[in-house]
Amino acid sequence: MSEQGAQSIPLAERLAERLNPVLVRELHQGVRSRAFIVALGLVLLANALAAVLIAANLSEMRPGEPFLHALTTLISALVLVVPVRALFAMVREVEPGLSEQLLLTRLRPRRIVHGQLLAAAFHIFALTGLFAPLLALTYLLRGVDVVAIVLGLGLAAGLALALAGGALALGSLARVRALAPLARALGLFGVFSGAGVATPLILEGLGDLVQWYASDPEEFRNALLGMLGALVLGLWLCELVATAMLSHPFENRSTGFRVHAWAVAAAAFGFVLAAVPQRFLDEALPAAGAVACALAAPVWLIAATEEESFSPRVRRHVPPSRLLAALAAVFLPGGGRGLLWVLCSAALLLAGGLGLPPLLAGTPADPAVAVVLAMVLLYGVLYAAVGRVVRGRMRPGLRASWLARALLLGIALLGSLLPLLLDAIVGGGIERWHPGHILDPVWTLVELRRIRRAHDPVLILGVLAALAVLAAAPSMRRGLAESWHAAAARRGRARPAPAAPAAAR
Amino acid sequence: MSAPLLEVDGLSKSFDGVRAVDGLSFALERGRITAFIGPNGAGKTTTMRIAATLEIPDRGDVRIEGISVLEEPQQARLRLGFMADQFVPYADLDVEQYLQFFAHAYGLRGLARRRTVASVIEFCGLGDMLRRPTTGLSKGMGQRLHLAKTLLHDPPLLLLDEPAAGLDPRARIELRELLRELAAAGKGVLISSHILAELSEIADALVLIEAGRLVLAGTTAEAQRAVREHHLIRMRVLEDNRRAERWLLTQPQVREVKVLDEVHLQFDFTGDERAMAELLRRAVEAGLGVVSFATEEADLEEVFMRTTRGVLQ
Repeated sequence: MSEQGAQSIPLAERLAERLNPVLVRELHQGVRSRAFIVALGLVLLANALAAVLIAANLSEMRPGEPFLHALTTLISALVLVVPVRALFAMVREVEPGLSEQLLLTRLRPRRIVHGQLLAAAFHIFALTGLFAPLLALTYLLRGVDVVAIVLGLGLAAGLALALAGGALALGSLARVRALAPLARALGLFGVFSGAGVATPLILEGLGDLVQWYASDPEEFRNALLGMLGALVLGLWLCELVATAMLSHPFENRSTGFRVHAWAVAAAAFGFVLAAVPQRFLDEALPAAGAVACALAAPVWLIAATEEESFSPRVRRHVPPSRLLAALAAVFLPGGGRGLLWVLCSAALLLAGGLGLPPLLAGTPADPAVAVVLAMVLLYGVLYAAVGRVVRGRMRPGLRASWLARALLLGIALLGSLLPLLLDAIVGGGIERWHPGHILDPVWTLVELRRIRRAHDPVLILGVLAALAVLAAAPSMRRGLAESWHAAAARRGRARPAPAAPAAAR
Repeated sequence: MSAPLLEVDGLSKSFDGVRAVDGLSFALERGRITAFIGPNGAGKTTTMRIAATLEIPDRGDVRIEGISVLEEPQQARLRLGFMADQFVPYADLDVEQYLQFFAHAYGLRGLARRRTVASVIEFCGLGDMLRRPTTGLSKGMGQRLHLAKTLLHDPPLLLLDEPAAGLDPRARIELRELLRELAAAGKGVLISSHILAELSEIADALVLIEAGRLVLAGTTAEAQRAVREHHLIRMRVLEDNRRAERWLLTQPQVREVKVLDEVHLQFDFTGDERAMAELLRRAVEAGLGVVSFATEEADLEEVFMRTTRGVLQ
């Protein structure tokens, strides 16, 4: 390259430097690929076909119907093309040779995933742009207002982005070579089933949504905020899954999930407070806590069944300050610390579900819903503590952690099925719930209102959970001590070496 | 005193109960090409991957310029270039786009990025291939591109795992030349290969491992001395090699004289270099008609065969 050539960098190149490198690479690859040419041809053909069909049947159409047809074509293209491309791009990204090359650069796994998400967003933008003339034409035919257009396009883009996020998360499972075919199959199934369910809902519900907007803008705004919040939290979770798959097992893959679970809880309470009338808060707040717990249950169980000790890399990143190390401990990887985080989460959800109603609504939480919340939390704590005890008896390693999770699932299934089997064999039939079925969360929660008259499942479950937590207490203590020592070691390293005595100089 | 470029310290790693690396320790200096050799399954790739921050050891550590790959992988990665045994190209990217992408990923910006990419293209001889798709390159060109990518961030340490595997003789010679230039520029190169004759020609030092354990480490001269307690000397005389043979057998510290052909003889000499010079002087004075007199160095193949036992993990 001549020196002169090197001196002048084109504007496009300078702009590209400011973007995520993975996004730039995806665009270069996209433009050169055969799939791009085919997709572009198909989209233009769909555009032309839709225009011809609309023009041919225009006289028979109701006002606004041409726009709906154009939107149908656009949504179909968006929800299929974008997520499928994202799925295969991620499967390719995590191929052993390629992902390792990238991880040796300054790109961190999260940035790689962001690059893929941005590529999906750009793809949505480009496809919408290709459909813009058709949409503009149908708008000019009247019968549709700007709100319907913005809502239709927003929902289509949101759905495509959500499906692309899911596809990226599922595609990242291919990092484990044995799971690669499953990742592709699950990804395609997820995209097609998600698109198949959500597309008709959007198209059929668009008219109702516009009416809702006209009749009660405030309620509509709350619903929209809820959807937007769910999209953001969903995309965040997908990003965490894909980032965890791209990261090495000895990196910190736990903190993000734990923060996310708390964010979900905060969002659930926040949404209830913003959208639910005050008179229903006594029921809605405990219910929100129970839903947040149920959603976070997989994270609770995974956190408690992690390997107990820090990897050398994570140990290096424990905050050196005593106070910060103590505060951060529950968010750091390690099963003992994970169980402590579970206990903190349960306490916060309980406080939110039972403590907020008297504070904000002036009435205590509805007893029936409060019991459900308590039961859901106790089940979470019980199984997490049992998982900790099981994992503690196994050797170190990622494989053992997954084995412990499988065993925990087995224990839960056995705890549910064995009493049923005993009832059938010994008791002559499965007739009604009794305390032997306490390990079966589904039946216990379904029957809760009825069985409370005879027994107190909260008390039984509380005792069981307390015993399990006691059994796992040494692991939690070791987890805290390890964080404490790692922080002390970092402080020791950071401290300057003492000055040599004058005589020795 | 500055830290060694690469310091492997008591490294151990097991996979499914099989110990791949077992208490391995060695160091590598700047400006040297170090051959990393050992039988299949000796633990070479595992050691390199740990040094490249891609695996974590069960015990021990690797430090690059004093920086632990366990504790500060991000900092260590800036100081190393790892060329895995297999080059995996990106589909639908040409050679220049591929290098520009990695330069961008390494955080290079503006003119620095352009100049760096241009210089690695020139250094690796990829100038005629810029518009070629990376998936359409020959094995040799793919390895050149792989090396170019590895050099983009100008790391002081290069870890090359079987870089010459599958290359034709010309490509191997070209790769050898590139590595010599890199070592001359002060980079430390740790290179593993099964083609020991190739390594013999470029390596200044070697690390030999077997069953995950260190067998031998040092300069090639030290290794040669370690496997041979004596000098193997090859002598050429003008004529009458039988007379030369009889004369040699009468000399002190000379053993196992072999007549190779009409004019060449080979023998073991247990004396030091001063004694060797004295022997040569006496041979000339005895009128044997000495045309050449040279020690035969042990090559890496001989070092390998004499020091390893073929133990597999």
